[in-house]
Amino acid sequence: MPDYSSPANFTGGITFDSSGGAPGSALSTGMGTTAGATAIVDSTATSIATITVPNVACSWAGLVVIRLALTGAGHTYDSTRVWVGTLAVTRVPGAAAVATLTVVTGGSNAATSAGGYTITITVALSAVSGGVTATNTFALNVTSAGSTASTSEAQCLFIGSNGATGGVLLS
Amino acid sequence: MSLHTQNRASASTGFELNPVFPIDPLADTYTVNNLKPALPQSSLHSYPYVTGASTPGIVSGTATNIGLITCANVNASMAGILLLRVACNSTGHVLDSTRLAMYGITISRVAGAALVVVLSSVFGTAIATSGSDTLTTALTLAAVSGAVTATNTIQIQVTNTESGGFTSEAQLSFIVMNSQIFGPSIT
Repeated sequence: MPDYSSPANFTGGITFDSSGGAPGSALSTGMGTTAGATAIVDSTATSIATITVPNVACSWAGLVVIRLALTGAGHTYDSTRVWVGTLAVTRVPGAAAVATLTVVTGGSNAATSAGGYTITITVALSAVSGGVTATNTFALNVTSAGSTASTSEAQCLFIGSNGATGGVLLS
Repeated sequence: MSLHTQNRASASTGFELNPVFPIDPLADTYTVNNLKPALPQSSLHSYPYVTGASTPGIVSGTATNIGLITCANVNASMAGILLLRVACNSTGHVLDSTRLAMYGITISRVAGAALVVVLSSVFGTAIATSGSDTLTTALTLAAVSGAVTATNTIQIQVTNTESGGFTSEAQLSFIVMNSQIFGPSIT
């Protein structure tokens, strides 16, 4: 087991390379968490992850799990929310990448301390960025709204399978 | 159930938990404890992979503890999903049927108030049956234990109903994101 007793051995805000998995694996499966975002402004779409798709044939599919929590002064962690969705990404060379994000019905909920502010979440992908012959990217955006306007923090966990090493990158 | 061990063969089958919990493929075993105090500080700290041992001998129709949520009297936040595996395990019906059920989980606490934990509706269920018996399952939470100024705990309970009224087993995996290293834990 690696030694995590020192912060020097830990990369903190982590980047998950979904093209990883077992070294040399052409069809790898992996799981990881993005650094997410802190101080998310109330009711403002904020990117918490980036999906990068090179101009090659590639495919990724899996689950997206998001933790969102209030962090406003005096209301830190009043409420925490989980959001669960599925993500599918596909591309053929010379065409724009396509990514589809769908909420899992019944998979999302919130826990709120007595008397605390509550929070809602909206999750959406940005439009594709980049030309059809270039690397394409999507931002995974979260919009949070407190029952009283408040900042929040969010992070994102991916669990999925990649069609090829060097394919879709989640970070 | 706080520690998970996995042998080398299954540890190298494709999960790469980099860089939070990278698996050392050369290790005979590895352990993951989601309350490992030696983990370094991070403002957004995660425990993306923890699996508990299977709980055998679950009496049909009886709520049984299979996990424990613990949270100190601090501001804390955790969210993720629980994956529940249940299976028949009585004599003559060992592993007749296996069922998968998933739940979203959110945990929140502010210092001086009680711990609050919420499970979502079940989703992503599947069942495979090769024998004569089947089973249904439901995951629930017990009431919070502990004063509002003390560490709080909440039991995670499973109720399995085996078609023949026999015993079964259950096992939880946790994929969670934690706000801080001394925040909530699931063991």
